[in-house]
Amino acid sequence: MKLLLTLGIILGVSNASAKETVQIGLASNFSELSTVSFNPFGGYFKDAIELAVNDNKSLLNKAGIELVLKTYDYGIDDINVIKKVKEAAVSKPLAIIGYNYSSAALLAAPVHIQEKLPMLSPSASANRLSTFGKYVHLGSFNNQFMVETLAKIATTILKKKKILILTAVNCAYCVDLANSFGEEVKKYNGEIVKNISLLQEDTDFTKIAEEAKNLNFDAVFVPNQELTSARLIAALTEVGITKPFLGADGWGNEGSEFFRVLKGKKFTGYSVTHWHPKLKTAKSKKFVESYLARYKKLPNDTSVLAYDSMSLLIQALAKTKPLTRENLEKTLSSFTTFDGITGRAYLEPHKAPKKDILVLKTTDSGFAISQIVSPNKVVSRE
Amino acid sequence: MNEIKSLKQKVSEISIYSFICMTVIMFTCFMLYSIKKNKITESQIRSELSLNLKNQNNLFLPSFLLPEQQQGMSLILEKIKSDEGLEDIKIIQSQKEITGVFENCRPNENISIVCPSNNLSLTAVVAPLKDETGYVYGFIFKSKKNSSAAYLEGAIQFAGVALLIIAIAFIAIYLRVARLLSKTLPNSMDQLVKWIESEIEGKQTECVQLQFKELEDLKVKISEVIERANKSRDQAVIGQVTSGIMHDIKTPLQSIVTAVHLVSEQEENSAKRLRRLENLFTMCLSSIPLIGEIIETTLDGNRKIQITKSNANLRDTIESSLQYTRELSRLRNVTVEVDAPHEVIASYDSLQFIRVINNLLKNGIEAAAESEATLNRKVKVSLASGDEHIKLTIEDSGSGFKVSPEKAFRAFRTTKTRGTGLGLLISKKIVEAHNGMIMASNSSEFGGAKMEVVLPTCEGMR
Repeated sequence: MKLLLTLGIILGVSNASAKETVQIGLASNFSELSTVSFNPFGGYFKDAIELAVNDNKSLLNKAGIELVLKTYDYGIDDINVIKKVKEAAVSKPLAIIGYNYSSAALLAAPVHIQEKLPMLSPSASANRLSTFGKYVHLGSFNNQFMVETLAKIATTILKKKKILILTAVNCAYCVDLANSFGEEVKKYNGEIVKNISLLQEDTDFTKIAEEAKNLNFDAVFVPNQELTSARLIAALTEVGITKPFLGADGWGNEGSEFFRVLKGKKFTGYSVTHWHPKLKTAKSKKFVESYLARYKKLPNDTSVLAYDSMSLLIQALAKTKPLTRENLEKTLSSFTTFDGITGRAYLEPHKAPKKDILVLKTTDSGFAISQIVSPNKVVSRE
Repeated sequence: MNEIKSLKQKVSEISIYSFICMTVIMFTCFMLYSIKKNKITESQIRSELSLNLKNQNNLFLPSFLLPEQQQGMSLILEKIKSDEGLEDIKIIQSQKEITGVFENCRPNENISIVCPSNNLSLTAVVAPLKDETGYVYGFIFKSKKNSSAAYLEGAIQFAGVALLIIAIAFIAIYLRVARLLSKTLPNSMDQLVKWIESEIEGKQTECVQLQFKELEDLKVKISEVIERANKSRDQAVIGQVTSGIMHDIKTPLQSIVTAVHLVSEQEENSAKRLRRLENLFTMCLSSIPLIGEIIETTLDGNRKIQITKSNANLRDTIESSLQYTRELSRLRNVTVEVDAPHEVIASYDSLQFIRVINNLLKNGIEAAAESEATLNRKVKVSLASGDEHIKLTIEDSGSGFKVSPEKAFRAFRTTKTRGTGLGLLISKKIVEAHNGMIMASNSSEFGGAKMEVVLPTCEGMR
């Protein structure tokens, strides 16, 4: 008995001391953190990842994992994603978490499949991401769920059938949303009056506003990232357009950045998102407190999705034995549910999870939660 | 003699000359400015075109890799075209898609190629669009106007506009000045001439207001000159007419006075007194009509001649005139020759026409007599008859006309030491009343004056 105890202690000590170092790659645009960029959230992503590692330290310790995070910064050019994936593939990372935007995720996915390197994108939502299959994992509901919700709001709640769309055509996320929304609106006997093209980098939308002024529509769908969307809405309200505006998760959540661009211009807007700082769940409140205490700023939806995805990845790492890329891929594909800050996610291998969506409505100074829609409330999903 | 140009032609020449000068100066300035500007060389264009190729490669590749972003390619192309001031930009897959002035440009999968256009006005860059693995998705083709060409084009456009403005300005100036010099000024000059004529003729005219101050000043000066000339002329006329009349009527009056004096010397009712009274009567009969004729002749210079035509023999009229002047020619030692057919019938007023021949013969005899030569003092009277006209020529061996012979017909113009200067004017009026012409010239045969009278025949008049 004494011998067994001694062996146990020795094994325990040896287990504790012989932690396995696991490297996880963080892929994002870290080099451009400015809020004037259309992709400013690399910093929020990394902060949340580190917070998640910190919060899951006991689990990692228990699993004997020494987690090393390695950043893969692809900058502002999405095409650099391919180069970074290839770098990671021949290096140590067991998996890559990141590609916050759909375009980056869509470029990375084929290379991950080719290199058999698992990837987990916390926030990319393009519908096509759910079609790649093995090695591609998603932490966010997809565009389809968002446009179903928005089309329903526009046509049945707001009773707006004639929709104008303003799409940044060099943004995969934006084009995917615009096209899906168009299809969805038609199901409710709605009509897309016109889909006006623009570029993400554009800042002067005077011509588009003048063009829109001469069109007959009931509402405007602006499926772009936060700054571009805010600038478009500012330009359209400037020429006197008072029709309601609709947007997706690109608009962000609490809207401080959005409303800063609008400079006090009033508009009626509805958007959908994953999370809001005012969400009154225990997990959400605790997360906001921890984040605020650690980084002295409020988290955003990028932070929350990154936190949830990293927590999921840590759970997978803890369950994977031995720790190989292939085994990790199997573990990630085996999860069916996950309870995160954004609520319970229903997981299906290599597809976008199903979880609650928050409908936000504009107030005088930001976005407020209007309602929470559960996935089973929307009739048609992938 | 050089052709005299009109004011309009002169203005046209000056306008064209000025326009050419302005144009040459303008283009010279443009060329100098262009040369200075053209220091932007082709290599700078190359560097401009190549500057953002790496970024643009990264910008376009997602459009090839992501179907969602394919439609964004055209908008990105438009944006780059606008940002870089390109002539053309496109994504091509092979050399076949490069046509026109860049047809010789060959894309290379490894490096970007810079190609000048065939006409050297454009420069293009063709760069491969490839990822990290070296896979080539296509080529980006960008062309830009060479700065010099672009500048030259701009300069030409500007010069064209400037040229047009200058041309319009010159046309406007030309039209204005040409109108001024070819219409307004001549009209004013015409008004001035008419005013001068009226002033000379002494007609009462309305006050003429000329359009230019210079002409108004000229008008004042001319008015003063005419005023002075009129005064001098009036005095000369009065003097000449008076002295002429006095001279002409002095002789017959003297004859009458002498005859009266001779009568008064004799006793009353004496036979001698009776004879002298008859002589006085005869003298009065011949002298008083002559005095009347002298006064009549003087008045004829100022009024229209009335003629009564009848068929008569011109030779007879010449002979009658020779009778009147025979004594004169004898006294002056001048030979009068006649070369005329015996019968030349014409329709004319013989009483008036004899005044013409008398006048011309007297002038010829007196001119021949006053010549320096003492021998061969001659006057020749010739008469020639044609189908349509009859020509009477009287030539003398005098000194001829020293100035323009035509001036001989003006009133009070005479070369004689004694004469009214009205004889030729009256002769001219009589001839013209017969629809004839009288011409003065110098005789090549005799060296003196030559007077020609042309009368239409009955056939000619028909």
